[in-house]
Amino acid sequence: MSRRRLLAAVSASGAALLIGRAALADDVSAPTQDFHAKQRDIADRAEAERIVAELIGDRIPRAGVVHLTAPDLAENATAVPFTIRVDCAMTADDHPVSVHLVALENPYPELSRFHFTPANGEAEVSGRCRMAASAPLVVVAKMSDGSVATTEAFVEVTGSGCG
Amino acid sequence: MADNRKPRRRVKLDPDTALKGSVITVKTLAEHEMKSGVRYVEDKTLIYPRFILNKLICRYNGAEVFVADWGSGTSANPYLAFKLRVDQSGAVEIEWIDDDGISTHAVAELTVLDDTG
Repeated sequence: MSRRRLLAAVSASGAALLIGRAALADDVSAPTQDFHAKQRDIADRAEAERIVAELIGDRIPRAGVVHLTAPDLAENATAVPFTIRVDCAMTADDHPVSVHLVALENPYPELSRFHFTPANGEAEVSGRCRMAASAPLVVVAKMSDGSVATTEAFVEVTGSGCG
Repeated sequence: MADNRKPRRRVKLDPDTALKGSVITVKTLAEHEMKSGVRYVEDKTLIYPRFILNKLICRYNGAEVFVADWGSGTSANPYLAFKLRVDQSGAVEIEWIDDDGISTHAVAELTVLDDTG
């Protein structure tokens, strides 16, 4: 029996099946966002901006340290390519401890976190993300010296990549 | 059944033979549906629960060098590339962990040459 068919059978009772396996999984230690808090399908811009503000905290973000490469117009919202590069010495006291990628119009705005170590040599990562709607992609890099660097790029998508 | 087939996990080092101290690219690719948890049937009586790979860990000769936490907004069949500074030959191991806590692995061999070749 496939997962989908099993789920359909479970929901046949008419009750909304809101607790999935995700809710049962271990909680991500997230000061900013509880990925499993609830099933969401609507984006909340205010929530996304709160997450970014919470990542930055009361520090003044440095500009020009983080570089984000993403297309201005993405053909495929389910796979928007991005490359994040952080200019730093990659020593124990100057490397990005965590780099957060946030899409402001996604139901789950924080897309991913990348944790670098000095052994990486260069702080550069590329991957693909889903975007629910045209929105700024925001990158917040928390450096090991306690400072924060940000950048953002507006990505226009044709259609939703989450549904 | 297709569900029982072992999912493909790939890691490629570019280049896989490098000079000591140089920086190489580690490219990873996992075959996964990455259900985002925001899909539902039309009348919203059923929301398909999230089921994704939520963590990628890179170990170089046993030492953890890079970790990615993936959220709901990661593409299906996630590709991720990052850098690694090499200092000795050995194994670059990638571990993917899904929402059930099941780990899958892929390993690539790395050859490091010193100045004398």
